[in-house]
Amino acid sequence: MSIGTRLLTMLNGEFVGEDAHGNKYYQERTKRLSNPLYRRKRWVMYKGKAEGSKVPAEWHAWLHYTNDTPLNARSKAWEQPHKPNLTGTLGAYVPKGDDRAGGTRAASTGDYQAWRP
Amino acid sequence: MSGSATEAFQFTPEYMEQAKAILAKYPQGRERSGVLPLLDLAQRQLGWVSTGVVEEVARITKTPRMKVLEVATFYTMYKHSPKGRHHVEVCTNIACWLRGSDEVLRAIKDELGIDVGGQTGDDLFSLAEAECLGACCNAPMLQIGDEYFEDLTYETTRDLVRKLKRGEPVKVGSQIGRSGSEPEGGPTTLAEFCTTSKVGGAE
Amino acid sequence: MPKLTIDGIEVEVPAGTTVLQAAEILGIEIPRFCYHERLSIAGNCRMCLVEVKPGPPKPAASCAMPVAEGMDVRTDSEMARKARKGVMEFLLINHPLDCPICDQGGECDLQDEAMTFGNDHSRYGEMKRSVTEKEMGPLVKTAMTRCIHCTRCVRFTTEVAGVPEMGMLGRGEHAEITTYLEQALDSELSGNVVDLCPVGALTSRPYAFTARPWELRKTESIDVLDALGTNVRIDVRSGQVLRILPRLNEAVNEEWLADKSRHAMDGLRQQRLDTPYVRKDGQLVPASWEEAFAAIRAKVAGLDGSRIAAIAGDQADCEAMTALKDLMGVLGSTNLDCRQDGAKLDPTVRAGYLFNSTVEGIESADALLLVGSDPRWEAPVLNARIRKRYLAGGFKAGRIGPAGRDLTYPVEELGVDPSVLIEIAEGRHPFAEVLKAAKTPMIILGMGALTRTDGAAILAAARKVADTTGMVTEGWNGFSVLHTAAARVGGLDLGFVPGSGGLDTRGIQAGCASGAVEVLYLLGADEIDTNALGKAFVIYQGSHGDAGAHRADVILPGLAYTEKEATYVNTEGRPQRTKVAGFGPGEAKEDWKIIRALSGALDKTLPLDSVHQVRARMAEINPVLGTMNAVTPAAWEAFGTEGPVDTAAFTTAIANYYMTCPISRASPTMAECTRVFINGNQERTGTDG
Repeated sequence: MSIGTRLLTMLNGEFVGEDAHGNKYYQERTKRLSNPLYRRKRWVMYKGKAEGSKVPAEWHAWLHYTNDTPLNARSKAWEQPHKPNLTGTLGAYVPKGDDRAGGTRAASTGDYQAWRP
Repeated sequence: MSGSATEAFQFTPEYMEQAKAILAKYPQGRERSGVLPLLDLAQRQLGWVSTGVVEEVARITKTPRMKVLEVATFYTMYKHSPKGRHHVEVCTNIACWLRGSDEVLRAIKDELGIDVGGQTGDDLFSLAEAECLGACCNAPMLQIGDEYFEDLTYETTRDLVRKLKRGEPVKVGSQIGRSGSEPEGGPTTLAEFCTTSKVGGAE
Repeated sequence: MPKLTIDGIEVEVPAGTTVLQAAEILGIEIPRFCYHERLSIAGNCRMCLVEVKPGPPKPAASCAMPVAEGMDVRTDSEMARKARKGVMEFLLINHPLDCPICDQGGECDLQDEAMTFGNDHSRYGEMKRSVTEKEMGPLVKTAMTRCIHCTRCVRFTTEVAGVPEMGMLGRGEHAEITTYLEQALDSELSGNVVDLCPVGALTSRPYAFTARPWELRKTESIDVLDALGTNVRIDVRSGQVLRILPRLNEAVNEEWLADKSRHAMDGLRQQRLDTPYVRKDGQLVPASWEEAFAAIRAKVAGLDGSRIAAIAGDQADCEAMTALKDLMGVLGSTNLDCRQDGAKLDPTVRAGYLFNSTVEGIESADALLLVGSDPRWEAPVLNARIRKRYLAGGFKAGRIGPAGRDLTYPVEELGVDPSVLIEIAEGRHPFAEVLKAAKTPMIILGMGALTRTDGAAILAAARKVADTTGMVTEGWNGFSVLHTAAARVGGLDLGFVPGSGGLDTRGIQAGCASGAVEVLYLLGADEIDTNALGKAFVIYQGSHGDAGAHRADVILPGLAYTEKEATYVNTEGRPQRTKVAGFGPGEAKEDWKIIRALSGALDKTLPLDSVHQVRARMAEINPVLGTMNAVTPAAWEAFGTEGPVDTAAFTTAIANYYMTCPISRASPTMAECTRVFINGNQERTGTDG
């Protein structure tokens, strides 16, 4: 979060809401009614490190002007809680056959059955 | 007229005699030439061509059994399941059909109560459709065993089947009395020539 | 020699050549489905239509039309193309469009030709005909709806395989290709119908739904499951051998491949030795290479050479045998043998253990005497060559050995025991006259005759037959030994036989039992009686956990023939080299490298640091092994020991064709074949090789 964004938030930021992860969402206080096509600027103040994938889907829609208000989180039964990109962390995805995921996998080509006495 | 498909087959002494006569026509090492007549002979004895027949003919003619089976399935003359004593094959090809083979079929169905591919309960009759049997001049016609019955109508067909049922003698060939494929009612061209030279005409 | 023009190019070809063959000479490819170079001409697919002038104004089937003087052939004219399009449209009337689920997809002739001659849509609204699947045994899977009735399979089984059990039943729309009463196709060459089938009607059952051709990495290699040295192509995906196909070699296998060689490859994934083992307290436990070598060192160090012995198995490669022979040399042992079945072959005269007539030479032989050999099982592809010779006419074959076995060509049964051979050698038997009258007679001497205790005398008698009936003349040597092991000729060429005072296989086994031999090195040798090795310390080096591994005290995991680049000499004496198609399992290493490393651990380091040095050493031992893919004719010298022969009947060398080596014994497909063909058939008995 740059100084500029902090400054902008302080001077011209209107708090809109906060998601489950603690990221805070702002938009411009200024309304330019003279220009009907003008869209108020929207931005996010991340909790912790700035990382695009931290934004959940419902806020993503608001942030990109798809919706006027954030969507309802978990409105459908099949929706999973949002997870940021975990690449490079311990929570990263590893295939089933990987040692970190237990090392058991289905048979595949190249396998052989070893002789045991 | 009986037996299962896998039952072993053997020529009776009389038929074996005939089989030997057929094979004698061909030089040594060419026994294979006798496959067709021998299959026919076996069919005359058993009534149909069973697997046993195929294997016996293959053995006698020194031919691979698969080759004999190929031949036997190629020709419609060989039957691959037991048929009635009178296997009625009605030609329904175009010439016969135009001349009323539908009526002939209807007559048989009415008389016997069986459909094409069927067989009467007493195993006396079985009915089949045949493709052109080469007697188009005398259409419509049907074949029973080795005999042709030609120039049929609904009535003559019923009459024919009725007689066969009762075991009475039947008239073979044209049912309206013409000889061979000469025109109905006598020659229409070269009439003079025919009467003087006695070519064609009645026997 | 008629001269004709094809597509404007003039060509002169021998009379009797067909238009299609003439076009092939010019490099013009005419599409075809039913025509095949090695089968008779059927002319029933009509795909090869061309325009021929002069002649009737209609296209002619080029595969069945002999060339004539002054012919003007057009293979790409409007008429020819239109005719082929018509043929393709007719073929596709009833051919299902199931390429995505068809195993032939990607290597299908019909698919390829449809790209050129197919329409973009069908003009037929009627249903396609469907045909029930036919049972053809454990190797051939059928989807007969796809059949286009080219009859290649029928012609192959009838002509080449000599098993006239396939045929076309019915006719017209109702024609169906099937085996007699849908019995399994009882031929050792049945896998070839899969290669021949231009569509997906006959596909390989073990390979079904396994891979697409473009996923496979193809390696050109050599087969070692029989002694013929069939040229093969090994198809591999992710290091796993998925299928083996024949490769064209006119001199060896033409383009056929035996079923065992083709389908035993699933044994390459079973029962593999992937780590060294050392026996501790009676139990084999996994060990590192160092531990295994240390265990051997502890036993071998200070041991007299005469108390060490080595036996090479049937699939040992020349490189490994070279290294092992040298290792035994530095250890001071002369007890080594590559004839694990105890065959009494004379290693001193090369002509005495080769198939001197060569495989191609069979075609110029005009009389054949089989002695204790069953080529149909010992080398099915070679047997097909003999059948080809028989079909050409003017060929007489006689057999001394177990009678009644159908070899797919007629043989005169001369007797079952060696006394008949002696009679022929002494000219007292009528068949001797047949051989003498023949211009190029040959004798095939099988392992069934040589593995007996009187093998040496039989070898001598066979040589006498060859001498007295004029089998060895200028440019022709009809004396042929048919081996059953791929390693045998290579081993004999390398002199992997007892040195002076050394023990042979029988001597080594007796020595182990009595305690005279303390250390036995088995290089993939599983066919000896491993239970009768007494208290000997057994080192087993090989690829599979078979009989040898069970008895072993130290196991060194080696590679199978698809995983190493190794030299094998086929029964004709033709050195050929396998290629690496996939990597071996776990810790397994190339065999000569294991022996080289062991020599280092024993402080007797062999000067074999690279494969080039090994090969140079090979060529040094026997210069013949320096030239690949060529047969070096051997000089005809005296061999064999004349002596009295036993009158016991000959036996066959192979009890079960489908299980003869560790690979085929481990193969589930071969087990299934054994169940269907061996145990289901009363004529052939025995369950194990």
